[in-house]
Amino acid sequence: MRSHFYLFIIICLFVSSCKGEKEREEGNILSNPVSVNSIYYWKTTFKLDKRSQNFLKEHNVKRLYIRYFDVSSDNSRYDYENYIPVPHATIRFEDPVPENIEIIPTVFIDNDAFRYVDMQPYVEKLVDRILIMSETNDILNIKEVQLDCDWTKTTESDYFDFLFQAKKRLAENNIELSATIRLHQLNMKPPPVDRGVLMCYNTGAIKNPKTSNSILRSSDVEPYVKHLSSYRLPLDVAYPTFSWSVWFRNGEFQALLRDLDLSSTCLTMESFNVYTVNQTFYQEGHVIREGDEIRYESSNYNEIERIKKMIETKIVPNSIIIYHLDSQNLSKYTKNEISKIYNN
Amino acid sequence: MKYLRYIIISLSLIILHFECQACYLLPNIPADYSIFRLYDEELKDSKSINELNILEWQRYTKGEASYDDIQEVVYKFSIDDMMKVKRKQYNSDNSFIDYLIKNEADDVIDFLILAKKCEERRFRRSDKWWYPTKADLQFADMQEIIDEALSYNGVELRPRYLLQVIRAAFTMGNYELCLQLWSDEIQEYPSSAVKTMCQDYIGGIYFRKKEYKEAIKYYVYNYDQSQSFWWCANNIAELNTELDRIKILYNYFPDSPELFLMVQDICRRAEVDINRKCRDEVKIPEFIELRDFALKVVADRKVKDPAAWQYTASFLTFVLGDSKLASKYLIKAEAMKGSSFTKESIGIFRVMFDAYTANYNTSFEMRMLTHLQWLDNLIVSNLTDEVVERQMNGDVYVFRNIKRYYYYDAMRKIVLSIMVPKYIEYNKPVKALLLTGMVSERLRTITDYREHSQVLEGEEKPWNIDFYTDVFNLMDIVPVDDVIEYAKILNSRNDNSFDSFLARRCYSNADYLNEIIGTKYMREANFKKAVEYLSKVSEDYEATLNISEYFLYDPFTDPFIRKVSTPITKNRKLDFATRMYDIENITKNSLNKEFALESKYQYALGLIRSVNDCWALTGYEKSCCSTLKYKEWQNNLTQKAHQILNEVQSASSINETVAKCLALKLSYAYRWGDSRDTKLKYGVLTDSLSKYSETNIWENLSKSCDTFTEYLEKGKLFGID
Repeated sequence: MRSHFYLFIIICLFVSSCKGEKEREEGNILSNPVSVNSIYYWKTTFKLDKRSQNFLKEHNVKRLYIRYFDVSSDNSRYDYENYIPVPHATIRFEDPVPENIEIIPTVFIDNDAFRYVDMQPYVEKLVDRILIMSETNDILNIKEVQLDCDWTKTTESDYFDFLFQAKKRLAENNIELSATIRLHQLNMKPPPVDRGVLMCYNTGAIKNPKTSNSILRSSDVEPYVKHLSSYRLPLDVAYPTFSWSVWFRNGEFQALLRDLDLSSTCLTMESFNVYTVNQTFYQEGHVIREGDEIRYESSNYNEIERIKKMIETKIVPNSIIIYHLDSQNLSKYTKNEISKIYNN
Repeated sequence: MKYLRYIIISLSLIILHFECQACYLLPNIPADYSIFRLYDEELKDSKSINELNILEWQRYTKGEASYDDIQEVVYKFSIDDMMKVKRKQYNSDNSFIDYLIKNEADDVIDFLILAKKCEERRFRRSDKWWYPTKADLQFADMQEIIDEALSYNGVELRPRYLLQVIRAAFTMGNYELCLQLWSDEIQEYPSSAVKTMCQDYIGGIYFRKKEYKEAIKYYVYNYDQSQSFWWCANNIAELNTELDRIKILYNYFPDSPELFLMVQDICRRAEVDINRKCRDEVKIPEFIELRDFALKVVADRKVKDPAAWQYTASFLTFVLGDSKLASKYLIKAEAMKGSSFTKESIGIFRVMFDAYTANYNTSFEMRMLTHLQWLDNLIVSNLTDEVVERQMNGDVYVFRNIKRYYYYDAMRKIVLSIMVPKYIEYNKPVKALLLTGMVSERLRTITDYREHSQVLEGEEKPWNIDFYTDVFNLMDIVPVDDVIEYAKILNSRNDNSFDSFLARRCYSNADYLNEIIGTKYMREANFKKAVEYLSKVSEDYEATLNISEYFLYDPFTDPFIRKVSTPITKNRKLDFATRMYDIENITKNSLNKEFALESKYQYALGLIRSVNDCWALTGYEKSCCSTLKYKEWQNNLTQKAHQILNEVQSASSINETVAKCLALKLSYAYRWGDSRDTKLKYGVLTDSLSKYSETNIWENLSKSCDTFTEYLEKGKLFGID
């Protein structure tokens, strides 16, 4: 009887291992990278100031997703007929990347590229550029590349074909491919990549003047959480730690202001995060006129905590990623808060 | 006072005086044309640096190679193509290659191979997807270019080789080498396309070093680099206004053609804005600042064309309203050194200035004659094929008063917006007609363009633009005697040289003038005179009029009975006028009272219909019937007709005749509106007509007119209690 029991166990293990092989072949590989504290680096110059270096060390960050470049049109944003996808805002490495931190090159691709152009010829260009950038800047042992695109139903098929080809091309170099997953994409087919990163930010409608916080609101996240347990892709989860000001004129969205000083005498506070401009001033290349409205948005720790709990009742994320490495923004959180985000 | 009415009309409708315009956006009117001119449009077509380079190669071949062949080799050949040339394997017709082979110019072939190598390597790096490998960062490929180029020992191609060194070194970021070559050698070279290309790189180096004040100096030499200049300028100073931009450009490049374009834009804006008197919106301080700046430029004595700046100051002072000071500045500008283009612009401004400030006496005419003759010569001598073609293709330019051609527009602006209103003000309408006639027709006369196709009734035909010109509009509203005087001057030898100059340039077609005079007499119910003039009009002329297809109804049939088509004859205006004149005579001479009264009824019928259903007899376009000027003679003739009808109605003892008079009045009482008063008037007339229910008119009216029947049935009209 006991020998039968062992035989049963062996058969079960064999069957389950066969299933895993099959899933691997189909591209639904449940890869299992080491779970580490991770963070995005989303600036155009790679330069780590002292505070950033300390942050990495203090929180034992072992994985850095560096945005290498964006891919969008070479021509005017609205000149769709002449949409030529090219790299923009390529990062410049002023400092060497820190040793013993895994680097994951990340590239943002404008969704319109898949709407207006056959992107297949660009797979090679994109992968080659990532590899050359890594080599030139001594970023060795790349194990993963991440692509970020806000794909929709209409571009899904083209984007997934692109991912499929990119994955194949990267695999030749033993590199895996991951992709960002926005909340609204959770009820769509998972992309053909090795793993995904669930972006828990930019959850609201930024251009709507009635939105109270477009960066993060648990009520915006909640409806999507139910899809998590059945989502067929291993996920890391990314939480925001940034803030910005959203500028409106006559109820129309104008621009994002990243360096606005809210204590300025040109602003009058109307409610807890809404200000009106009482005197025209100049900010980040824009003339902000009297009567305009500013909505300050930030990533509130309590809100992050609430969402994190909501998510972790459904899945156990492989790694937690913070968006993004900016010492000024990160200084708004205590060490303890960051540790809690990281589940340390 | 005699002319007061048409002065008001003419000023408001046609010729908008220099100082009397509203602030809203007016359609194309001569007063809005731009006289101020500083920027020579031909400069726009100045050659690009590549074109100049090709021309330099062409000079090298002593003209033996064609421009296109050089362009093919220098800008389109690949390295492989050049290698074939070197190996003497190139088998195609190219005069530049032929020249190089014939003259055994191996050094040039080697140079072109090197230049293409350099270009190809730089081009690879300029691909937006390119990212440097570690090997690329060593720049071994570019260093190879530098070494090879610097090893050239000749003299002739030295500047070109150094350009390749600069290109390669610039790509490598070896700016020191570039700057050294520039200061040691290249800056001493005479001006050339190659030197300018080097300058652009040196400017680029300083730009990258954020030494904008240094960089900007190198960009001013190349008009293609205007954008780079402004990038630097924006980094040097805060450029919030157009004037800030003018000032900085002047500082670095006082003779920049772009400067003239910027100044011209502001002055032209001043010309129109101030003219429209939108003082609140007009940037007067900006114009004053530019005027003062222009005077400063003259005082600086740094520019090659000081007259242009003095002219700017004078012009702005003029539009700002100080004619006295403007005159002082203008005299100075006329005496100053300046390009022929500027001098011509000043001359045209002088014509405008004199037209605006002078007293309109005989000596003024003599002075103006010289001015206008000069301007007229400019119109003739500068006429381009493009202007002629536009003229041939577009009557719409006349119809909509669209700007056509600088010299012609200048003449039209001066004459129509300044001189003509002044002559009308001084009670000299015939002079106004002569001037308007001259400018209305000048371009059409020079280009021999006048379309007068005869088209039969019912067929499509082009509009006869003669009836939309400025001179027609003026003739249409001035008293007929003035038009007769105008026509007389056009058709006779004239002792007055000013009049003679104008008359020779006017359209003196006798049919055209007699037709207008005859029509104007009809509007005054002077049919004897109308016949006199209309009978001078050629038989076929009427078919060329726009309105010829609108002679729809016979004016002598009762309008309320049924529409009777007009008999198709060749001159229906003359027929009508003749019949009206005959009726006048019959009325006068008839011994039979009732016969005379019937004739008078016919006369009243003709009058009333000629300004209503049969408007084409007295008007020139359908839409004119609602205009102020048309209403004037429509009311006069209708009033006259009503007087006659009242007279006939009270004098006739024949019921049919009395009923016809009432019915005619009734017919037009309700035609022009449905106000309560009109309806009441209609009711009174119908009540009066009810007394004649046994007449044919009554019967016809009750069969054909719904309004009449409605009133008879209900005793009232809709909406009247």
